[in-house]
Amino acid sequence: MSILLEKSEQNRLAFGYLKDKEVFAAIIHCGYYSCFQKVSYILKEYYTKEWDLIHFQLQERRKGSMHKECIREFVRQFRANFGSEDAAELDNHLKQLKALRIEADYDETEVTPTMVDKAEKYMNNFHLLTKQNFKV
Amino acid sequence: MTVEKFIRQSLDKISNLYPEYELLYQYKNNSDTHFIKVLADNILKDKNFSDLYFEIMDNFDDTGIESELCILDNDALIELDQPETVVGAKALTMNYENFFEIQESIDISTVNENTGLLNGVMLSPQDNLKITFSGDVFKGSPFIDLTNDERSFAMAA
Repeated sequence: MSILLEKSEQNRLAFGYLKDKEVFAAIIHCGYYSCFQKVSYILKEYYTKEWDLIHFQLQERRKGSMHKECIREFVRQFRANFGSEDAAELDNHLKQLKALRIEADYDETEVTPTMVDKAEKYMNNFHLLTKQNFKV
Repeated sequence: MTVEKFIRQSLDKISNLYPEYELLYQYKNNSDTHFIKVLADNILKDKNFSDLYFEIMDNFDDTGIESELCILDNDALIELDQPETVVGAKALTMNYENFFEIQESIDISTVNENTGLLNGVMLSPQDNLKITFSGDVFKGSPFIDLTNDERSFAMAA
């Protein structure tokens, strides 16, 4: 198994572990990275040209966000191959997890049990859709 | 195009398709994200909305604006702490005669003269009315006694 995929799986497991222990501060971090590491893996593995182009352009421009570009390319490919309804949900959930990860890690935002439940739903939905469509 | 103009255009597009929903907006500096919130349940699962969603997102990408754009609904993970109400919900007008199956005891003209909020539709009650109706559109409405597919709704004056 790819090390990146292993990291994704470990972050997914860490989410469950932290939830059981009610340690909410780091939980969104694990949820988001569990998804983002798999996004990176899928791009590297299935869309290598696009993956290389993202990194080339980021280096050339010396600005921009690798996370933003990777999620955008991943959703673009997902939409083209598997339809726009699931793609819209994926795009939206990844963006929300990304934004909340920043709030949870750097701001005064309190991570509540309700947020944890929703984040878990988003994360599980992401893994389900990628398993169904990319077999990973 | 400025981001403000883009957001305004996007709000108008959503409001044109869903005039019954209030729209909120907030920019969050920490995540550099423009959030538009549609006060509706599970709107992302609506096929019409997912088409509009990507129309807005694709246009946003075309502008070259570096920040993120994220559309939320009532079930969102992100909470807006200082939202602006930018578009208010508009009352829908429709022909109730085609919408409800009115019980025999009710005069259809009475219903049309009444208003009140029913499943997002404005009615104004003057009398106690009992209306029977059926159809998927009413499933999940908090105003309706959900006993079976044909439901009753008593609207107090």
